[in-house]
Amino acid sequence: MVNTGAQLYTMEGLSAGVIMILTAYLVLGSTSVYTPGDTHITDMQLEQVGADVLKIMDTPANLTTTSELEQIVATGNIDGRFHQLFWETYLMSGDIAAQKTTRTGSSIITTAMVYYHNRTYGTVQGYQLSGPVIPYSGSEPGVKVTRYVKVNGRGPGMPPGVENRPQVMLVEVFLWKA
Amino acid sequence: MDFLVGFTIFIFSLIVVANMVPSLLVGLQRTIAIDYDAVAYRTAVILVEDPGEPTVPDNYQAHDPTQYRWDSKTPGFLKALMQGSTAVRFGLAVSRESPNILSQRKINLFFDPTFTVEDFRKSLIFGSINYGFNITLTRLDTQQVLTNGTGPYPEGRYGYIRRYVKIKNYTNATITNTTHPEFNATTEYVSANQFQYFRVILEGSGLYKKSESGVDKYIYSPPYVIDPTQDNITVNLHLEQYLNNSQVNGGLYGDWYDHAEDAWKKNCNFDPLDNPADCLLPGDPWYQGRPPNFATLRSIRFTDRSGGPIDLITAGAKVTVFYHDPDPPGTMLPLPDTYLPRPTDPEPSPGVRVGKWLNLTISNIPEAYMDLTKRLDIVYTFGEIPVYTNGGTGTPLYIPRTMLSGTLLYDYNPANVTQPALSSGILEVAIW
Repeated sequence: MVNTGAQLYTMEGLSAGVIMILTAYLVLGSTSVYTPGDTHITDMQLEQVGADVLKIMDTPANLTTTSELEQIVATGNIDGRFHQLFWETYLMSGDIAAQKTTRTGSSIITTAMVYYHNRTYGTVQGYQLSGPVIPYSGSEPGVKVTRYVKVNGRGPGMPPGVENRPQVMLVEVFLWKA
Repeated sequence: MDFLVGFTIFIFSLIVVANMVPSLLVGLQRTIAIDYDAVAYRTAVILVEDPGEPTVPDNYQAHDPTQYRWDSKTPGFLKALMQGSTAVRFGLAVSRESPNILSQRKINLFFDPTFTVEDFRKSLIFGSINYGFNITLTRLDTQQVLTNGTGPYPEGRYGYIRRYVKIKNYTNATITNTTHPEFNATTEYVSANQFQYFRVILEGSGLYKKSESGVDKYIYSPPYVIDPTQDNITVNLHLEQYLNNSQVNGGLYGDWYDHAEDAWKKNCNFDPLDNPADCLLPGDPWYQGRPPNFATLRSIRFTDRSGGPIDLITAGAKVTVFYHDPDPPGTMLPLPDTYLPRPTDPEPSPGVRVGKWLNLTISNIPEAYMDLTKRLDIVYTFGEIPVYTNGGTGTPLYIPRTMLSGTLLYDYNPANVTQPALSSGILEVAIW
């Protein structure tokens, strides 16, 4: 009287349900529809701001001086001058009008590298110009902004590998939200 | 029974999944909403990277007179343009090639109270939606804050972008006896109706181009060029230091007269201590019983390369002159227009008494008078009313009260002119 035929219906229904829910779960979980206002726009803003700051730092104030960035690259990051300018003077400036409502950026961490061409080895080598306050964990979203800086020769703040000749160096700043 | 259970589970799962499907589309629904960040970004890009419209090419050459830069016009003129069919776009960049470097005059014009919210919507933000907005420019060196918009930042959501900029400052020439002793002329007398001139030269070829190894080059990129058509030109004369008195020019006249070691005493034919009656008496308007504390300015005129007069003010330039009032010594006063005569006007008489400083600023020099090939001179004329010996009945003497005369080249020599400098600033745009 009791057979296993009807139980198949139950099992069939159960497995069908599980498969459907699993599929829907996977579909929902794997597709992320980015909409404007999402994080990538914020990243774009951070990238824009970072690039702007580098550009402003690399613009000489007048015809007879060199730019702030060029001075820092040439003489080295004395007393954390790079962080002081990039982060305090510009990025986190106290003169930002919107700071009361939108200044959440104080958690932005920056680190800067300088890359140069080593002719002896034919390679591009780099050294750290400014270190991060907190090390990068690898999981936070971050952006990189770069700027080519012209230097006239080997400066006191440069590692031994930099040759004493006019050259262009790449300053790369990595910004992320901690 | 089992069939019923299985079917129920299946149906139940189907309902759950069906419920999940619409949530897939929820994200897409939001695209209907306005992306305020994008509007803010667009607005900031126009402001920071674009020189605006109308504009002219940056070649500093003579061009079609119907073309002009929007910032060479007055706010009222621009407002009329906006009402008409001409496209006007606010862009603050000095030139197309120099993004993030803003023109001081464009900034002044953009933040002029003449423009309304509607003007900005029409000529900057664009689109048919009446956005609320707030545009703030903060100078990092002076902490000056300029704001345009519909009001302060809202409580709710808004789009925001921040741009870092450099602001190109105006140049100025400040002439003092310390920096320019060569302008101290050794004139003793001036004959009747002979004037003393001081000339400031704006040479187009020197400002815009230089010859290097026989090749003409543009001197400097737009952020660093002294461009009188875009930037204010200021000349500050420290007249006090060129006055004809012993504090400045002691002993200039040596032993011309027995006791008259200072030129200002020459209004007496005799030693004033011996025979005061021969001098102008105190109370006379031109009494010079004390060292002169003023110079007599007749006019400030403008000429071209050949000396031909230029009617700069009628052509649309704004000339502002302030002079230090010596009687009583004190405030700076605006110079009456009479002393900025039209080319056909005669030399104004008797002249205005100018004390310590004479400061002139010219803005909006029309491009018709300033390009690669043109030259503009600012000519100061100083002239004296005669003083009469013997209490007003003797020989008229024209004694210069100022020794200032000569020619100053307004160029890239830092000894003459404070060079164009860039100051940092922050431009913020919020849209809601």
